[in-house]
Amino acid sequence: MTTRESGQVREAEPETAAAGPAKHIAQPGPTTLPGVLALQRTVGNRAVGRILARLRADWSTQANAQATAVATRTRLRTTLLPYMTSHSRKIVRNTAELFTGASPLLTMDAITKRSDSAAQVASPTAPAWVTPARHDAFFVGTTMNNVDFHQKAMIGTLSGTTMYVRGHDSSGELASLEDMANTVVHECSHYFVSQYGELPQTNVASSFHRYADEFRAYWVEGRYGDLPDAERVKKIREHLVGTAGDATSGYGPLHTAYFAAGPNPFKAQVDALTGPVGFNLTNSIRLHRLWQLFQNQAAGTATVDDLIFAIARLPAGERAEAGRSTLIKKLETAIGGLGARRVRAALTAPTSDEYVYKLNASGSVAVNRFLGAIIIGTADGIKTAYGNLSRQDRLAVTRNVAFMTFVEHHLLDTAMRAAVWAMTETWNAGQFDAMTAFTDALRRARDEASSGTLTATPDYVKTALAGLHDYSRWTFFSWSREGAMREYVDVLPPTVASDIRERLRD
Amino acid sequence: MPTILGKPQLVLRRRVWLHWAMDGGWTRRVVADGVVGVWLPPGETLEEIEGAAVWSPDDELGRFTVTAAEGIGDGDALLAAERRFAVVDVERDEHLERGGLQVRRLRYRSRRTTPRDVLDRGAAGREHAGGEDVVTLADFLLVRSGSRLVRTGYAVRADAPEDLRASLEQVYERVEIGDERR
Repeated sequence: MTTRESGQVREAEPETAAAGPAKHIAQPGPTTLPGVLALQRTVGNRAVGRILARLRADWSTQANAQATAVATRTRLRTTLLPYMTSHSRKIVRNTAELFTGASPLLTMDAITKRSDSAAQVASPTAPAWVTPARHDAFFVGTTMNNVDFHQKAMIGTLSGTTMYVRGHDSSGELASLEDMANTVVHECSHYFVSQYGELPQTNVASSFHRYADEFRAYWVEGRYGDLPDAERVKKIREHLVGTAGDATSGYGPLHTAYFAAGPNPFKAQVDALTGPVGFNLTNSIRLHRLWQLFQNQAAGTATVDDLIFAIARLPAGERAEAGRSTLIKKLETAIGGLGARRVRAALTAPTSDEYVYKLNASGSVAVNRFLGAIIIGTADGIKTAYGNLSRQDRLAVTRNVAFMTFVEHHLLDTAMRAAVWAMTETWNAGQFDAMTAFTDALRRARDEASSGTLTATPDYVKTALAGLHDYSRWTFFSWSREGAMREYVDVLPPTVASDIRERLRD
Repeated sequence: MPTILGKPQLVLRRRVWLHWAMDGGWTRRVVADGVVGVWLPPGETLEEIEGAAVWSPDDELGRFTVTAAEGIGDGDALLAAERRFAVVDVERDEHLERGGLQVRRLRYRSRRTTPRDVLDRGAAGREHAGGEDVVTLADFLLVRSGSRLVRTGYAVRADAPEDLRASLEQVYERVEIGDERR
């Protein structure tokens, strides 16, 4: 078993690796491919995982290479992914989610050295860039019917949306699950960087963007994660650019750029980087889907409502990350107008446990639907959803500070917000309409005031006021002070505004 | 098992001097059972690596190679293999007779994005390479000798230093095919 770099402790694998000499996959007995597969049928994947953990990879013949590929694929899917799913670190669990579910974002498969690698790289019909000193020939999947060329020391590669993992080093020694999990986390970070385009020069090996891309990947995979941040930054920097006295240290192009003589803006940028940059630092499928939804909204295949729903469903921490992201800010700005304001308000809704938990503490489906209706923001939808709440649900939302905060962040129309307060305070959907009639009347009075013809509280305002329940009037006076009151009452001539305030308070 | 340099391959990477001649300090090696003669600058050697004869001042950026295999496709197969990984612009595609043998010269540029690989550097830890946009210039002579296809020529990154490209081209210009002798 390989271990992680010195100073790091490898977490225990779920299967117990037996002590003793390594065995070849193609040996007779239960360690042959048919034996392993038969065992898998009879005793299940965990037992197979235990056996696979004791094996060495072997690609000396086509049959052995294919058996190794089958074993690798089995280990990836039946041992590595469950290991990642139950990992103690959130980012590893998040990364596992990218590969699981009904329609996973990414897939994982085996990549194995071909038994005829030497002939392939030395073939007259091998691509010109293939060089026998540096490359080996590999196949992906479990049948040696395809050829791909990679550097000899390759242990994994990402191609499109498929992550190919070798599962062992170039000597055949199996990689530990923790090592593989870290590698998968690391590569997924690169995948997201390439998707979001926040570091466009990362395809230049000596660029600062490449440095920042690698820095981020090492940071999120957890390497050096037990160190204080400053020390962690230093360790990652040293790993990437090496040291001045050793020309072979670090990543070659980064080392050369960092230690170049003379004025060196690259070095200045590297030294100034003290943390990971970019969106989705947690490899979250939810944040990625949110980003995809912004693309869809821009393309006209999703709505702002869809975005708000996705934001509302995010765990608080991820919503906070999205709220801070410059990438998301740009996408939000591109929407413009009320849509952009609604998205920003949803992103900046409180993230405290107090808010998140108390919003719908019982997990009521009907309350969730009511919250959804508030996000969509149509009067009929809100009234219908409220009408479907049980007595218990109505009690739960009435004067619930978390609920009121939710409404503040998702209903930007102050008149409709006032209507919701009236309805939830009186438990009467009719008061929603009554409050709407009242704000309509105030709007009409405001128009009159702007044309200079309003001298006293108009009768139509008094009539609308009469339709409000006492509790509705009080909610308007108390809870809409920064909203509808300011928008519709405070702008009226002082004597009229004062009269209306008195009538509301009465 | 015959190898490109005419001897069984004993070690993966070794220096091979089978037949040689001198010309102004340049030395001549005969490879691929006499199908190809390669002149190299003073002090330089042709190495056999994984069955290919290779000379390069900087293998990462470019190299001159001679490779051979039985029962294999021709230049079209080479271009098809290139196109699996890259966009290929063929600059020259000529059918010639040289030294009594049929030769196809293919000179082309391939543009590809290198695979994003995780590399195990042993004690030095992990390295994550690739993801670069690379243009490679290749200039090959493909010689059919019986059922055997021999390829000789060079490939070099377009961003390699000029002197490296010139060195490779110089060796390529002096290649002898069949019974050609300079």
